[in-house]
Amino acid sequence: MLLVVIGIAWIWQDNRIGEPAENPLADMMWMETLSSEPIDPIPAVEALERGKVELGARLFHDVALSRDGTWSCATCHGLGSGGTDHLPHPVLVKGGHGNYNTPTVFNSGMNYRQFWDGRAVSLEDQMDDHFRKEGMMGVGWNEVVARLRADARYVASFKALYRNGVQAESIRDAIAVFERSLTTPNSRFDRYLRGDKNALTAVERQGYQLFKNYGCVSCHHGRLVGGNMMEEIGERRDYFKDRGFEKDIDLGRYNQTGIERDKYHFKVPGLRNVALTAPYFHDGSVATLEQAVVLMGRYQLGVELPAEHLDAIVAFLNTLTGEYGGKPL
Amino acid sequence: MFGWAAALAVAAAMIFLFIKSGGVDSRADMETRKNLGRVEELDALFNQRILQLRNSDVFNYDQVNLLAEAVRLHIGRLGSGKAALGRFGNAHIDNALWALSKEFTRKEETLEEFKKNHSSLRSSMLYFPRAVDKALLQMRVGSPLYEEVQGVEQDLLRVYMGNRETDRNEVKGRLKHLGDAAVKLPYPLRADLENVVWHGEVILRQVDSVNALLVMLTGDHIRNLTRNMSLAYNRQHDQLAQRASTARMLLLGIALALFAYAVYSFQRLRAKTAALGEAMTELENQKFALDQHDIVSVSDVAGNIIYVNDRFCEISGYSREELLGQNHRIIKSDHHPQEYFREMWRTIASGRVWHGEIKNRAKDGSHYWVNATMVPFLNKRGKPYRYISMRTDITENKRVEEALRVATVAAEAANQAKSDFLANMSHEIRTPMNGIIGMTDLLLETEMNTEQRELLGIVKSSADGLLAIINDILDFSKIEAGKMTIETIPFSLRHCVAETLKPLAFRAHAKKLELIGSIDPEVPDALLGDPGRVRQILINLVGNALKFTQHGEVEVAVDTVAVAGDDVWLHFAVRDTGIGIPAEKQKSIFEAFSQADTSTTRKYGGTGLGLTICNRLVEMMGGHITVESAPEQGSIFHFTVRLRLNHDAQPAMAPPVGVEGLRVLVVDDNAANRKVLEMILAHWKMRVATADGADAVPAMLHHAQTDGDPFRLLLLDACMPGKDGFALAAEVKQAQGLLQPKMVMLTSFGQRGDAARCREIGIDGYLVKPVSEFNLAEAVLAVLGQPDGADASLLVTRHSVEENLRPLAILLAEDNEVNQMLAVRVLEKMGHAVTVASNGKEALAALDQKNYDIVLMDMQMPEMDGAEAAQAIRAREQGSEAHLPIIALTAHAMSGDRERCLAVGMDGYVSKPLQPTELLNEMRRVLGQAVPAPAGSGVPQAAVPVVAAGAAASQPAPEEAPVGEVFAVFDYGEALARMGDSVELLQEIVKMFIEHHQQYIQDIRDAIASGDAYRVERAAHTLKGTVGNLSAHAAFAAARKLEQTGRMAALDQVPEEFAALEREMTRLLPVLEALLASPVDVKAEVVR
Repeated sequence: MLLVVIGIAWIWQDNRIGEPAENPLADMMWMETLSSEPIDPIPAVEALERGKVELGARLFHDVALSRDGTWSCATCHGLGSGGTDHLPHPVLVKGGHGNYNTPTVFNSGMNYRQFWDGRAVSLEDQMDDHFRKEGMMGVGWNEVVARLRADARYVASFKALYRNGVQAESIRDAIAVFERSLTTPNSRFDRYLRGDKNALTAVERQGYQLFKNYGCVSCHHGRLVGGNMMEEIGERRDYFKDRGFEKDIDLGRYNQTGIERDKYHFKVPGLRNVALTAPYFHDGSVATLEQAVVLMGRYQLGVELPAEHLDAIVAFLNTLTGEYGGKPL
Repeated sequence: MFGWAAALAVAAAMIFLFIKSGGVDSRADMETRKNLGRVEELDALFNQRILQLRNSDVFNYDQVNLLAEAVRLHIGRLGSGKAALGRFGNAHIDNALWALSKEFTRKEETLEEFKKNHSSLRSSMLYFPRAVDKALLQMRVGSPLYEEVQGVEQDLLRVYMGNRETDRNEVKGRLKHLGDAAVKLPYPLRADLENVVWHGEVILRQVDSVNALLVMLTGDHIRNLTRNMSLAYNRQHDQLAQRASTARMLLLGIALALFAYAVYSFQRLRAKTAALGEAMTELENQKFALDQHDIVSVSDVAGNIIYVNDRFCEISGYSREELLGQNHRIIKSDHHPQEYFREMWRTIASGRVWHGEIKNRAKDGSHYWVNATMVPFLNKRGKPYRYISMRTDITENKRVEEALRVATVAAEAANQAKSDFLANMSHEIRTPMNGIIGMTDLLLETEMNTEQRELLGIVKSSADGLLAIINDILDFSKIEAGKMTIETIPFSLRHCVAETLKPLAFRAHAKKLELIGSIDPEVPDALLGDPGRVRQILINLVGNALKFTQHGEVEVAVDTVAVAGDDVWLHFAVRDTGIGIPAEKQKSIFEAFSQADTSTTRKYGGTGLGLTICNRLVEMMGGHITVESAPEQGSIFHFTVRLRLNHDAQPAMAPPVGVEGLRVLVVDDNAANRKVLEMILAHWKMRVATADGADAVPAMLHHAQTDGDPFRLLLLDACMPGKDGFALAAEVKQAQGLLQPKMVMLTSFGQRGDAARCREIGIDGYLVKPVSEFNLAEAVLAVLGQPDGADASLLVTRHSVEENLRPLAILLAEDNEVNQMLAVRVLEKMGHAVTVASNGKEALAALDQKNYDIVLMDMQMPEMDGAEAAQAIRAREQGSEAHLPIIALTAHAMSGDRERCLAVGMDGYVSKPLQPTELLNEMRRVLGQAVPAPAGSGVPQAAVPVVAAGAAASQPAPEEAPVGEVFAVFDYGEALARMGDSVELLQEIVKMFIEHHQQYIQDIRDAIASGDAYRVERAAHTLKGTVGNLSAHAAFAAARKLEQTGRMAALDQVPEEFAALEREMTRLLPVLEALLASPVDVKAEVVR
């Protein structure tokens, strides 16, 4: 008896220390040579666990993850359509439309916050937001877990990859790993940054220069050409006053913090593949890239861009489209 | 149970220690330390990048964001990494971590602020030169505005580069000036210039803000907090490690102890196994031995045989194969009732051993008897799972036993027949004896000449002797037959002894012997027991003593040996001064048919059964009889009996009232007599002096008078050597100047003429010895109550004391003519009117004619016997208050008669031959209980209605007297009952009280004046006793209270209580005086 008790105690003790999930960030001595450019190329895809990526991909496309079994993540974040739905507002599972314009899933892992209002600090958090009863997917984790556990293939796959099998935690992790694999390197602009001066045309190079000179780059910088900070829409002129129509979501970050100075603050969106993710702005109210650039110049910088400047900048933005799975998006 | 609990406790302790001994998980520990290091390291890097951003060495926020995220991640891991210290992490660590994570959250917020301001600053810095260029291009070079714009640009660049000397306000002023100037300018120059101003203002505003945020961001808060956390962690880590090491040591200790215990247990198990082996062998041997002797079988709980030994097979005639698996019923005979076996099964099924004898049937149908013992084997829960039966063959014993039983029954029957014959014979003999003796007595009363009288005297004594012999034989045969029973009825001991000694006194006096009855006053009087048997023993022993004593005295002394609860052991000693018994004979005198010498029998007569009977009776009453004797010196027979206290009886005779303290002189030459009288008188609290002869008496009387304390009473022995009692009395009477004491003469011989002499001399009373306490009390009270110089005819004698039964109308139901005549004569001599009925029917008819006071009912009569008649009388009385006393007359000498008589509703019982005294006593007893007492006395005290008793009701009662209890001033009925229903006696006592009451009160007053609490108590006590005897309850209560107060020495309360007592006395006296004047008036009711 004593031996049995001791044995149980041993196993229990062994069991009670969870293995720390190794996050690539922790050991990321990624500091490349400091470049003098405000924009960095998208780094090479990290070494991600292949099995988890595959499992995540399956989950990402599985309609079992929605309330009525008709939607998957890919319904709105179709990989073939720039990682977004091209609608001003997403159509919701529960009916009606969502408020914010759907951001692209590509490179989303590199955002410093998730959502327009930055309410999630990680992809995992972002998923918790979706998988609530009142969330985008209309089902809670418990329901999702139950559904997946009924599927022998999932059970087997999870068991192979995760100690605890099908759990909300492991589902979240698998999808997040898959989403981190959704990077779009090797755009023409990145090739330019890496030294291929001919990767851009003269107009495009001029566009980049204008992008920097007008000060766009002071917010849109880094690997994602954005996605690094929160900023107020209408820094220079009152955008919402001019537009004449104000909705709840226009308050942006204020909706999360309730702090007065956070009003109209939104995450600065990354501009990677921006040519493929129309319509634009937090409410999807801007249909074309040209129009978006005009509005940005007017309300954020206080400049009315001359036509040739506008064209050059738009041309530059078009060079930010990269490749996924070795193919151009 | 306890063992499991202990094992579990040890296991739990070991698990606990084991967990503790695990200490710090090294992997998690390493992880935690790494995280701590990484937080610090990454934070430093972060700070560095922020500075680089500000210095434009870095151009985007990717790195600061990633570093912030990494720091956040590691701090989070520190939170979950607390597991390194198990569940024993402490508050210091928690606090440090909390502070760290909070600080970092703050830092992130600051970062957000920084990024916003910084990007704003940078945006303006990027565009400002172009805005300036654009404006300048439209201006004339060298114009004042141109110069001013250039100057502003220079200033702002300096500010941006960190120049603190540049006056911000001045720059601001110049920007404002430019703005003002721009308004007047044409488009587009105006817009361009405004753009310059706007950006300039942004730069001016943001540069200081960014710098301030930079300072905040790059502070060392995070580093310090991380180090704090490290310290707390290390401390806790060391503590845990220490604890773990201790736990390891303890664990090792327990393990070693367990090992030692295991070794010890193993050794013990080996020893036990060996012992068990031996026990098994022993058991085999015992079984073998058992099988050799007993018939053994074993069965399961249902009684199915699972083992039999050879002897079982042999005696039952079945083979083992035939028996195994069969139920035990196979050998059952039909001899025993079903209940017998049911009882057996109940016994063994409940786990107890059963013993019994069973008759079994063998295979061939023959029967055999076994003495069986059945033992249930019990399992752990105490339930039988197997029965083993061991039997021995007792068939032969049974046969012998049966033969013996038949023989015994026959013998007992024969013995019974003999016993019955003897008893019946005795009855048959006693009936004619009754006639002979009774008639002889009556004949002796008639006139006849001397010779006739002499001859008849011989007839009388012969008949008496014959009756005594027959009685002895009857008693002896009853004792031998075991049919003698001892009754338990209420009786008065003193009365019993006195009545016993009275007839014997005549014999004693005839031989000139002193017969002395001496009962210790402490001996309880009201007892339960068999007075007849006590009396029988005394008659026998005293009779013997008188028989064997030629000179001197015979004394009967009674004292108490012990009292335990209701039981009281009395010791009787019958002492004589006779011939004594030789030592060698003393042992055998209590055996049957033995006297000290057969020659004694010849010389003195007797059956020789007397002492044997005494011995048996004493033993039956729980006592012993012994003798001590010296030849020619005398003998003392001692015997003890166990009796019971009778609480229901009226209190034993109380000491006479009003004699306390009186001086009395006893004159008697016999020391034993003096002693007895002194004892009794002292018990009454009289002050006693004694004289052993007449000579000294006159001088003593004179002395006493001279001392102012004269003798009030003189008790004189009539017969003394030298001057006898009569002579002394005459001398006293004639003494000049002597205050005359009352005198009572005690005479031994009761000769006719004594009374006349007494009257002649002027003696106040005389009594025949032996004197009982009761007689003496009555005589003394009567004598003292007489006024001096009263009519001499009022001589108090025992006779006058005794014969207080009024003339009664008696119905005698008796069929035997001789007995009729005898009874009629005896009763008529007592002054009663007797009507005779010959049977029950006639008796009932007579009762219809006339009212009778009492019925004497013979039990055996033709037509309707006594029992039937008594039942008929009681049936008639049903539903009415009437109760006619009935006394049974029976010749049944066998025990149980009394119960039979009482069962049919009779009140008393007298056995034939009729003894006048016995009949008189029984009549008095029966009438005493049956005649309705005067009004009041029959009602229980508690039920007496409460009416004012003056002060007692209105005053707060002392703690001992129940509050509100109200006492009657005077209870006539009770007082009269106490005086034996003698109105005269009551009046005497009352008169005496009225005479003396002043003295009592004065005594108390004097005592109070003296301030002596004890004297108060005594004086109050005396008065209390006196008024108590008068049933003056209110005065009694007041006196008792005063007495108690005196005992408590609470003198301050005395005056008040004395006043209350005096009030009660004032209320009492008129009532008593009225009683003297006209008893009838007072008699009517209880005076309250």
